[in-house]
Amino acid sequence: MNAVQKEIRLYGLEQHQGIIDGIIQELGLEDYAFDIRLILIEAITNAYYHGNLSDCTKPIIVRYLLSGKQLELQVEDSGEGSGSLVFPEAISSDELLDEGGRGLYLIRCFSDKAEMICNTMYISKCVCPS
Amino acid sequence: MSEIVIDMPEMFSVEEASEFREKIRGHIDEGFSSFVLDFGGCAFIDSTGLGVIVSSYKKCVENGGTIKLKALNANVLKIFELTRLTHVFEIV
Repeated sequence: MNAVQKEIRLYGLEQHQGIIDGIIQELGLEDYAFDIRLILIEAITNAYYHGNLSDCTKPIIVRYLLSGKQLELQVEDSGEGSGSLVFPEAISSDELLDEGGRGLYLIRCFSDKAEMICNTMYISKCVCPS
Repeated sequence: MSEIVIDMPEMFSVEEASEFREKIRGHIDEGFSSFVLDFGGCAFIDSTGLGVIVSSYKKCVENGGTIKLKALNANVLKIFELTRLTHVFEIV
């Protein structure tokens, strides 16, 4: 299968759900729709609030590449890049009733690899296109 | 006071979570503190949705009430399980 690489630029959180649905359809990954939707919504929400500080004029760039069974996603914000973004391995009992702090944990749960380098989140997930 | 049943939206993400927060706060301001969230029509929830439910739950408990969850599909249940919120909410 030829690799498919695309890049989409979005602003704010107005159109991101439609854009994500379009990516899933384009890649033929409907069987993984829930996982990919969750990963991308969490990553884009993180980019908007923490990277772009809720500024709708700053772009968020989503890049996606499907190569065989390997899906590579990147979500780049317009921030300076946070030094040490930690993807938690678990939710502790102390954090159970916190209002936030679950987004990065869920990205980690639904992907094979996730890391933040400068202002870009890199996510890998193994999939079997239908 | 009796329980109020709230039908959850098909996609429970940022925008819908904000609408839900307003709706349940309205009920809490009216004196209601116990709710059943019916997920029968809900296919998706993210961390923003979870956060709003958790903050609403804490307000309900402060007022002597609770929040129960109903009819979660497999994907939505998995999110509650992974985040250990199945230890917090009664699922009916």
